[in-house]
Amino acid sequence: MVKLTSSDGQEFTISKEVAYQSVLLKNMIEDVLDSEENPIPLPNVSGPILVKVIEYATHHKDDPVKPPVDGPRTSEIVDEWDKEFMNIDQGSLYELILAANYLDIKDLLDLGCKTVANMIKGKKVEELRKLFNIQNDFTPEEEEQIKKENAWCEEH
Amino acid sequence: MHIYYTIVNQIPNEILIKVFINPLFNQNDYYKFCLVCRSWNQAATIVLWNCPYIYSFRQLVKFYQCLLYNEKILNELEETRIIDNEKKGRISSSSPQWINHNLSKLVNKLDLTRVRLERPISNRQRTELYKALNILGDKLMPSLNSLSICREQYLNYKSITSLLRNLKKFNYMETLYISIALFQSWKEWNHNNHLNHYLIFPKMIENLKSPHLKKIRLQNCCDLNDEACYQLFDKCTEINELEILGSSNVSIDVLYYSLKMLKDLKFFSYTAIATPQFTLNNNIDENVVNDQMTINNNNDENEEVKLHSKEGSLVIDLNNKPQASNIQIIDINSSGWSPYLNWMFSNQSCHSLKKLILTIQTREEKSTIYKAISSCSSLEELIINYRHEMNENNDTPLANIPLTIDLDKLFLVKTENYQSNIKFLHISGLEIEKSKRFTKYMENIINNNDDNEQEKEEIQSENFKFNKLKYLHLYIPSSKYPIEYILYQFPCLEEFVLNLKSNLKRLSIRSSSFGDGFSDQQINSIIEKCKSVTNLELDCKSLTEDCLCHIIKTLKGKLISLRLERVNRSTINDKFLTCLCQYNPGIQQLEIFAEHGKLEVTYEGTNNIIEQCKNLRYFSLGLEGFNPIIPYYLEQPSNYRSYFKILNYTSKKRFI
Repeated sequence: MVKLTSSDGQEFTISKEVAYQSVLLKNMIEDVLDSEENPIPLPNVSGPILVKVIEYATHHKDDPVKPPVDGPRTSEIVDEWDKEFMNIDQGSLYELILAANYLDIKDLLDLGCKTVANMIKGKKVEELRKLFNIQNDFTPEEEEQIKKENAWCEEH
Repeated sequence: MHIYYTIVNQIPNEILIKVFINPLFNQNDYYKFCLVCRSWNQAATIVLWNCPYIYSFRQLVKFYQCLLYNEKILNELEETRIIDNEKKGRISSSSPQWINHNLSKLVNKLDLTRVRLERPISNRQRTELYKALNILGDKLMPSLNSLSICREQYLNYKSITSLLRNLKKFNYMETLYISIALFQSWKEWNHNNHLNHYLIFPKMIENLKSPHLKKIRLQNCCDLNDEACYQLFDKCTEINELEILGSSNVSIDVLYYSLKMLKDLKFFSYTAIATPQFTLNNNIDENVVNDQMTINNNNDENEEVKLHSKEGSLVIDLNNKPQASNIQIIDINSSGWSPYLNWMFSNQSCHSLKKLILTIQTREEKSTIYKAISSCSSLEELIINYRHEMNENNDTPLANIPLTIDLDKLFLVKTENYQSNIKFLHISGLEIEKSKRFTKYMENIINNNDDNEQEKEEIQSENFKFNKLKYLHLYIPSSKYPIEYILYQFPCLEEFVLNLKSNLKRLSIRSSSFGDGFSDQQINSIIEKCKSVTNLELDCKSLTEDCLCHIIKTLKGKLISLRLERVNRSTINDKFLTCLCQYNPGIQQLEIFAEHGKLEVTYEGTNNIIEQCKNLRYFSLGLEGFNPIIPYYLEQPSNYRSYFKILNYTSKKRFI
C-alpha cells in the first residue's frame, strides 16, 4: 500500500496498482522504498481533487496498456463512465487537469483536455471569455495585430 | 465567478496546446482562440502556425501578406528596442505595443497541394503567385520540416523555380512531396519539354541541401531523370521512404540505385507511365568503362557506380551488394524489375521485406515471384498483378498470351526449414496452371488421411507451409482450376475473394470427400462477383438454406442448370424450392444430392417445381424413392411417359 498526503493535509492510502497509474508516483515509489510508512506529499493536489484522481485510477487500473499515439485518438469521449466522471464544475475540472498533468496520468489528462475541447467547440470569442471568466488582456493594437496576422484563416 | 479566473490563467501553455490539438477544431476555431486572451493566443498561435493548410490561391496570397505584416511588426519592435536602448532603457510611452512573435519560424509543415489557379490565369494572378512563392521560399524554407507542393502545367516554370531555388535553404527538411498535375498527354508534355529544355527537377535536386531528408515523393515530375535521382541519393543518404510515381524519364534502374545507396531505405515505390523502363546493361564495354567518370565509390573500393561521360547513362554492376538491407516494402508498377530483385535475393538482402507489390509482364518476372516466396522469409503480403503489354502509343493493350501461375512453384516450396509468413496473397489477371505436383499432393493427403504415417510425413515434407495465410484474393480470368484444392489448404484462411470475369457463364465449385467445404460468406462473395452465371455447381457441405436462397435471388432469371452436392438434410426444404420457382422458373436442369440420401422436401415442394418450371428437362434429387406428385394435367399414363421422357427423370421407371 502507498500513503499520499494532499496539499490540505489529508492522508490517503491506496494500492500500488492504483498508484502506478501515475508516472510520478511510480517513480517516487520505486525511489523511496518505505513509502508505506512515510506518506508521499502532493503539495499541488488538494484533498477533494486527489479523491477524484484516486477514483479514476482505481476504475482504470485494469485497463490494457494502449499503444502511444500522437494527439487524441478521437475527439469524442466514448466511455460512459468517463463522461459521468467528468460531469463536474469548471473549477474542479481545471484542478483535475492540473493534477493529472502534475501526477503524469496521461489518460486522465487526455480526458480532461477532451472535455474542455468539447466545451469550447463552436463558441465565439466573447462566449469563450464569458464561459471561462477570462478578461481580455490585449491592447487594441495587439488585438488588431492578431486579426491581421491570422486573416488568412478567418472564415468569411 | 472569479474563482476560476486564477485557475484558467494557471493552466500551463502545454496543456492549452493539448486541448487545442484536437480533430474537433479547424483553422477558424484557432483564429477565435487567438483572440481570447494572451495566454490562449500564445498556445493557439503555435498550433495554428505549425502546419498551415492552404487550400486556395486566394488564401495563399493572404497567407504571404500575413507573413509580411508579421515581419513589419518585428522590424518595428526591433527599431523600438534600439531606440529604447539609445535612451538607456527608458520605454517610450508613444511606441505601440505589439506581440513579439516570429510566425514564419513556427511553420513546420506546409501543404500547398490544394492551391490551384483558375484558368485563364491573369497577369495579376501570375505576378501574385511568383511573389507568394518567393516570399514563402525566403521566409519559411529555413524552418520547414515538410513541404508538399503541386504544380499545374498552366503555371509558368518560373513560378516553381522561384520556390525551389530556395531549397538550398532547407536544413531541417525531412519530408518533401512534389507533384505536377498534368492536363496534357505525356506525349505532348514531353514534346514541349524537349523543345523548351526545362530541367527544373535536376536543378531542384542540385539546389537541395537537406542531408536529413527522410521522405520524398516525386509525382509526375516529367523532367526528373536517372542522373537527378542518383544525385539525390548521393546527397540525401538518410532517405527511408522513396516514391517516384509516373515520372516517365526515370527508369526502373532507380531501384538499383536506391537499394545500393540508401542504407535506411524501408519503403520504395515506383510507377512508370510508359513501358518498358528497363535499361539494365550487364555487358559493360571496356572502352566505355575507361571513359567513365566515377561518381561515388560509397566507401567501398569494389563497389562503383559509374556515369558514362559520353552517353550520360549510369552503368549497373550487379556484383555489388545492396545496401538497403532493412527494406520492408517494395511497390513497383512497371516492368524490368526482375534482375534487381534477383540481385537482392542472391545477396540475401531481403530478409526484412514484408510487402511486395509487383506488376508482372514477362515469364522472367514470374520466375522471380517464385524466388521471392522462398527467399523472403518475412514476407507478409504478396500482391501480384498481370499487365498486358502496351503498343507503342500506350493506348490499347495488345492481345498477348495471358501468363499463368504455377501453384507447384508458388506453394510447394522445397526449401528446408521454410515457413511462409504470408498473410495476404492477391493474384490478379493470371490464370492458374493445372499443377500436377500440387494435385498429387492433395490426392495423397486424401488417401493417406489416417493410414500410413510414413507417407503422411513424406507428404508433409513437401513443404506446403502457408499456415498463416488469412486473406486470399484471386482475380483470375477463368475458373478452370478446381478452386477448392486451393482453399482447403489454408487452415487460417479468413477471407477468400474470387473475382472472375463478369461475363462468366459456367461456375463449378465442386465437392471433395474431405474438408468442410465453403462457408456462406465465401460462396456469397464468389457469386456476387459472377452474376452472369447460368450453369452452377456447388459443394453445399457447410452452406445454409439462406445462402442458397440468396444465390438463387442473385442469379435471378439467369440459371439454366443447377447442381448442388453434399447437401445437408435440413438445408434444403420447400422454401428453397419455392424460391427457385419464383426467381428462376426458366431452369432446365436441377440436381440436388443429399449428404446422407435424405432431404426434408415434400412432394408438394417438388411438384411445385415440376408445375412452375416449364422448361425443366432434367430433375434429380438423387434420392431413393423420390416420388414427385404427378401434375394434375398428366393424368393419363401416356402423358406420364411423354412427360418423364422429356424430363429424363432418373426414377421414372418406377412410376411408369
